[in-house]
Amino acid sequence: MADTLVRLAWITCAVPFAVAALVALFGRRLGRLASIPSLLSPLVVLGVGIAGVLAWFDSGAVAGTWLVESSARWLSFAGAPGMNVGFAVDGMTALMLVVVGFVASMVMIFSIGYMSEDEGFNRYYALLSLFTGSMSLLVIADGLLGLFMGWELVGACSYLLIGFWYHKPSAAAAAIKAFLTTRVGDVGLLLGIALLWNATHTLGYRELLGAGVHGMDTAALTTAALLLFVGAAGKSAQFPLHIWLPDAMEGPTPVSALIHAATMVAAGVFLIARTWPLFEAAPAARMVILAIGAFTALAAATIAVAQTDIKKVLAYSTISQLGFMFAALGAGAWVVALFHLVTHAAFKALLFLGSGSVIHGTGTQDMREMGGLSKSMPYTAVTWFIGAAALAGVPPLAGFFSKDEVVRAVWEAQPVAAVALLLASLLTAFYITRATRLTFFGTYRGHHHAHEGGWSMRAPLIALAVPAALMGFAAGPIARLLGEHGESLDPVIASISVLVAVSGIAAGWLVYRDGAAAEVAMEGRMGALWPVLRGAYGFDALVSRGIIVPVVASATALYRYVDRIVIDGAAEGVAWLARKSGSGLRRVQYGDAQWYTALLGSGMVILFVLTLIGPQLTRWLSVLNWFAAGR
Amino acid sequence: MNFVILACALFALGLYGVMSRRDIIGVLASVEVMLGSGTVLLVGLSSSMTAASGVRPDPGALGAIGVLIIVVAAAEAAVGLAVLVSVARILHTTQVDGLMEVKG
Repeated sequence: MADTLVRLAWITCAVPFAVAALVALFGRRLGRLASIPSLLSPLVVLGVGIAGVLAWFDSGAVAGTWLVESSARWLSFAGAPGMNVGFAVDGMTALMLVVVGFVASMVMIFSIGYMSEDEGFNRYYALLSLFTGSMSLLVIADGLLGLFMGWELVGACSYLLIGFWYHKPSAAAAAIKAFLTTRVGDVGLLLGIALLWNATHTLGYRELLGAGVHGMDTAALTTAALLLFVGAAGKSAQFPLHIWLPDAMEGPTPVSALIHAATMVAAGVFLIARTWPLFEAAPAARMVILAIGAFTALAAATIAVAQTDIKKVLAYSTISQLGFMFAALGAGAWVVALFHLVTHAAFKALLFLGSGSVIHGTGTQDMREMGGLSKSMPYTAVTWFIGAAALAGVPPLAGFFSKDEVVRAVWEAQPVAAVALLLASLLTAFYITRATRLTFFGTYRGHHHAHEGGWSMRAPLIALAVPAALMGFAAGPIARLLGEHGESLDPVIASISVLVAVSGIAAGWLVYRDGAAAEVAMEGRMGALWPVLRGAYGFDALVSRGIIVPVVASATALYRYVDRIVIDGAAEGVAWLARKSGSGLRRVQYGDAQWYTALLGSGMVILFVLTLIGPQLTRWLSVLNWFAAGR
Repeated sequence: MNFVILACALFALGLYGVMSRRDIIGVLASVEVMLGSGTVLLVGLSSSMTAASGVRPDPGALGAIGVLIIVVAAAEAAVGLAVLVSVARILHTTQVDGLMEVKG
C-alpha cells in the first residue's frame, strides 16, 4: 500500500493542480463549499508523505538511496541530448511532503472560518491548491530543473496571494515588491543551475551530486554554491534580500502561516540541504552562509523587538529563525537545519494562525489596541502560549531541542556566530513575551467586541499545538529520515539555552507588566533607538534610494528618449507612410470594372509589343552604344 | 495560319466589347465571343500543329477540350445571367455605370 502510493508520488502535483483548475472554473457555483474539494489537495500530499515515511523506514533508511525514481527525457531535439525531468522520493522528500501537507490542511480548515466573509473565496482556495501542488513539485523533483519549476510556481502563488486583496494599493505594492525581490535571488539560482549544467551536463540529483560534483574544480564549485545560496537567500528572506517578507504580511493571515512561515520561505533551506554534497565541497561558500545566517538571525530579532503590528513581529521572527537555519547549514549541520525547519514550521504556523484568530476577533493588527484577550479568546490564548514558549526555546517544547542543536553545531564551527545566535535567542524570548503580554494580558484596549472564532478556526490551532509541543522528541526519527543519526543533547549548551530563554522571558514579562503603558515608556526610555528598530534600520529607504530610484530614473530616460523617439518614431513613421500612400493610391480604384479591363488589356498589349520588338530594341541600343564608343 | 488571325480578331473584338458596352448583357455576350476565340484556336491547332513539332497530338483529345470549353461557357453564361437577374432586381438597372460598389 505504502509502496504503491510512493510510486504514485506525482499525484501530489497532479491532484492539487486539477483541483485548483476545477475550483477556479466552477468554484463560484459552489460558494462556501469550494473549501471541501480543495481540502483534497493537502490530504493527498500528506497521505503520500506518510506513505513515504513508512516506506523509507521499511527500506532500511540508507542515505543516498531513493525509494522511487522516475524521469522522462525532455527537450531532446535536433541532436541536442536534452535533459531529464521527473520525480524522486527519499526520506527528506517524504518529510517535506508531510510538513507541507499537514500545514496546508490546517491552513485550509482555518481559512473556512477566517475567509468566510470574503468575496474571492473560491479564488483563494484555487490559489491555495495551486500553491500546494507547486510546493510538492519543488520537493519531489528529481533534479534542479524540476525544482526550479516548482520554485518559480510557488513564487507566482506567493505574488498572487500577497496581492489577494488587490484593490488595496498597499497589498498590490507588497506583492510586486515580493515578486521583484525574490526575482533577484532567482536570477542567481538560474545562473547557478546553468553553471552546474555547463560543468557536469546533468541536473539530476543522483548524477550531479555523485560524480558531477567530484569532477568540478573548487573555484567553479564555490561559485555555483554561492549562486544557489543567492537564490535560497531571496526565497528565504536572508539579508540583504529580506525586505519583501515583512511587506508580504499584507496577504491574508492564513497565507502568511502557510507560505511565509512554514513552507515556501523554507524552500531555500531545503534547496541547500538537498544539494548538500555541493556545499560540503565548498567550505568558502559555507562560511558566507554562516555569516549571513547569523547576522540575519540577530538583526531581524532586534527589529522584531520594536514592532507594534503583531504580524510584523512574527514576520521578523521568521526571518530571524530562517537565519538560525542558514547558520546551521553554514556550520555543516544540514540535518539540524532541517530539524529546525520542521519544528519551526509547526510552531510558527501555529503562531500565525493564532495571530489570525486574534485579528479576526479584534479587527486590528496593532498590539497596542489589544490586551486581555486570554479571557475572551481562551483557545487562541492557550495554543499561542504553547507556540510562543516553543519559539522562545522553553524545554521540553519543540523549539528548545532544535534551537539548541543549531547553537551547538554553530558553536563547534564558529564560536562568535554562536554567541550572536544566543543573543538572538535572548531577544527572541523577549519579543515573543512582549507580544504575548501586549496581546493576551492586561486590560482590553480595543473598540471591537473581541470573540473567539468558530470551530474551523479553533481545531487547527489545537492540532498544530501538538507538534509544536512534542516535535522535539522526534529528533531521532527525523535524523533517520535524512539517513543520519540523531545526537543527544549537550548539557552545557542546553543549560545555557534554557538560561537565555528564561532570562529573555523574565525580562519581557517584567518590562511589559503595564501593557501598553510599558510600550510608551519604552519609546521614551530608548530615545532615538526605538524608531530606528521599528523602521528596520531604514534599510528599505536605503534600497529605494540606492537601487530603486536610479533604476527607475534610467528606465524613465530609456522610455522617454529611446522608446518614444527611436522605436515609436520608427513604428509611427511606417504607419504614416502606409496611410499616406494608401490615401493617394485609392483614387486609382474607382470601382469601374470596364476601366480595370481596359488597363489590363492595354498592359497586355504593351507587354506583347515589347516581346515582339524587344530583340530589335536591344540591337538598336547596341548600335547607339557602338556610336558612343566610336566617338 | 488564317485561323490564328481569326482567333486574335475575335479576341480583340470581344475585349473591345467588354470594355465599351454600357449594358451588362452586351458585356456578357462579348465575354462569350472571347471564349469562342479560344475554342477556334484550339480546334484550328488540332489539325495544323502536327508538322512543325513532329509530335502528333490526338485530334480527338483537342476536339474534346473544345467541347469542354463550350460546356463551361454555357455554365458560365448561366451563372452570369443569374447574377445579372439579381443585380437587376436589387438595383433596377443593367447599366455597368451603375455598378460602382467596389470603389476604393
